[in-house]
Amino acid sequence: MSTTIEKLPTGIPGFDEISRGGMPEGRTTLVAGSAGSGKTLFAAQFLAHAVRVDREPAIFVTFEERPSELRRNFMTLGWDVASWEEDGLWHFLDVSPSLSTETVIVGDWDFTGLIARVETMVQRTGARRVALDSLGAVFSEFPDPAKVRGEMRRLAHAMLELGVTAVVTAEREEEYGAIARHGVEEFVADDVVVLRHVLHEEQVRRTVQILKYRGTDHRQGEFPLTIIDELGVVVLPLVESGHEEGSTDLRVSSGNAELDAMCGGGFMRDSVTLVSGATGTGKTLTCAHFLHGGASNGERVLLFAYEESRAQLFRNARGWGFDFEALERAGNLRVVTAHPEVANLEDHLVRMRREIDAYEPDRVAIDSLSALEHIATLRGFRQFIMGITGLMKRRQITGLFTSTTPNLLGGDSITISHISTLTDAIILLRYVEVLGQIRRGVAVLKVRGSRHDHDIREVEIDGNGMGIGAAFRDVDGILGGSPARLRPITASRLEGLFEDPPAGGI
Amino acid sequence: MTRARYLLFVTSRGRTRQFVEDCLRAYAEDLHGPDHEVVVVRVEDHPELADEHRVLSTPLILRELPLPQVRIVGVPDGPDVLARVLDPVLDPVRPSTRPPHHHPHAPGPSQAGEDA
Repeated sequence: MSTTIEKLPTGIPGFDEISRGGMPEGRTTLVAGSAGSGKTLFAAQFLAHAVRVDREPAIFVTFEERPSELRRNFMTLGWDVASWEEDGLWHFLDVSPSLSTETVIVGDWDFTGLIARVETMVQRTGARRVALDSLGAVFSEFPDPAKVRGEMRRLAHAMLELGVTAVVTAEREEEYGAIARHGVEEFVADDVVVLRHVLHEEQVRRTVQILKYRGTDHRQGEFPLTIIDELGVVVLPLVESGHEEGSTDLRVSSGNAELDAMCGGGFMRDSVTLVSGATGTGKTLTCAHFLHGGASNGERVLLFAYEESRAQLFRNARGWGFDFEALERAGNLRVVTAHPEVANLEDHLVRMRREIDAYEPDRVAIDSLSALEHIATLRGFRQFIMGITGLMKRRQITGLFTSTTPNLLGGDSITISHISTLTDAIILLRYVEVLGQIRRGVAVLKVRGSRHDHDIREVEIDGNGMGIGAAFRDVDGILGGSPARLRPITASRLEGLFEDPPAGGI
Repeated sequence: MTRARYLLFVTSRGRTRQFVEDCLRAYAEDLHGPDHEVVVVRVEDHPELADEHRVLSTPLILRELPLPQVRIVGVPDGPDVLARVLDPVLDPVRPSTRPPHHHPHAPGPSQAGEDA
């Protein structure tokens, strides 16, 4: 559908992408959400964008919180609302309840007082954006909801007459129930945005959904949303439209010549590889090879480490023969370490984006996804992987993620079973028990668009990093987690199982 | 110094504003005699006063003095209603209270442009 209705940019990262341009101009959009879903901030950010970017005045009508409280809250985002007010750019219109003064209703009333105030302020300031937050507070002041709804309809009509673009917030009782409490959607029926704030399996997950955008295009479904200091509300569109992901046949080295050979000549440049294995099988070492291989070749490489401290990482790298300090000093390596639990997954994704935007790396490694998996729902985790892989492919960044299997001797991790289709290549690292000894093995499970080695090869780890040797020829069941030694006669029969019959038939 | 002060917030759209003003003046005159002040504020003309007192609905009577401050929302049926709300400890019906001359129906938006 072609878009004929003009839209105003919101300044909410990601929202203009899912709304295909922002808020419909000259209309009132209802933003409905449960307590704590970010409604007030959403509305304020829409105004702040006009003030900050275009030095255009805006009006915030507050039905609930006092301007002093709002001013203080907005300051935490780095918005100097007080100075905007001094400059005549930001205007609070305070209709919050007067708690210190008794109020008695004795007869018929209407909202013409409020409408007159809004009209006068719009005319006086020239504001084109208005936020009204939040309507639920008004309903609690008056005993007759039907009457309030009627007056709200009158207010909405007045906003339309004024030609302003407005955001009205309202409460919801249930995340997947009625659009808003008190049926307020009746009078702003054209455009409805729903913010959700769901607690599932002890994880908070925020989403945004454009429920209705009458006569204009938008993306369907729920999208993750987060609230971050300095940025405010951030929507994560996961896959951005209009940015066709490029594809290339160019190969880059994994940093390990033997692994390159197993993968058919290295990794595709815009590919994402998943390295899965139990603890101690060499996942972080594979990362180190990958990073060192790029950085020592003059590329910029970025590591997000969620399991080890920076000091541990650098020490381990030294033990494998990699001088990460020197690569960092040369500006070819950047290491970002964080505890997964300090933020939700959407926050981590936003921070990753900011790091990638700032550093512009050629390679990115995440060690490990399993650490992040624990702080999200399965759906949220999958969307996170979609978001980060999409970003990396658009920028033609080579990616490598690690994932820890729960069992020492193999088996699938939840991570690998849910994101394997989102990655281009999968490398398995496994412990192998042979003749009473624990050895390590590596297998390339898939490389999209390329031939690859089908052997499970032995891995040795020493002061020179990872060495990949010969294939295990006499062990079966490695990937299933129950390796068993085959008798030589069986192994030789298996090897000949798929050979062509000799000429002349059997 | 005036010991009684009332603000009445109205808009140019409100059909009942004259009736409410008459009620308020009758009530104040009856209670305080000449020693009172009634200020009628048309929101469009004095938005700064409406902002200061956070006016949402109209008509709105704000008793500033005597304390405590009280906000009365809506069109009262007559001065005696104001008396009952504002001075509940006094006799709710005063013999000298003048009845309102006329009580119009609910206000509508069609009367925009009338003078206060």
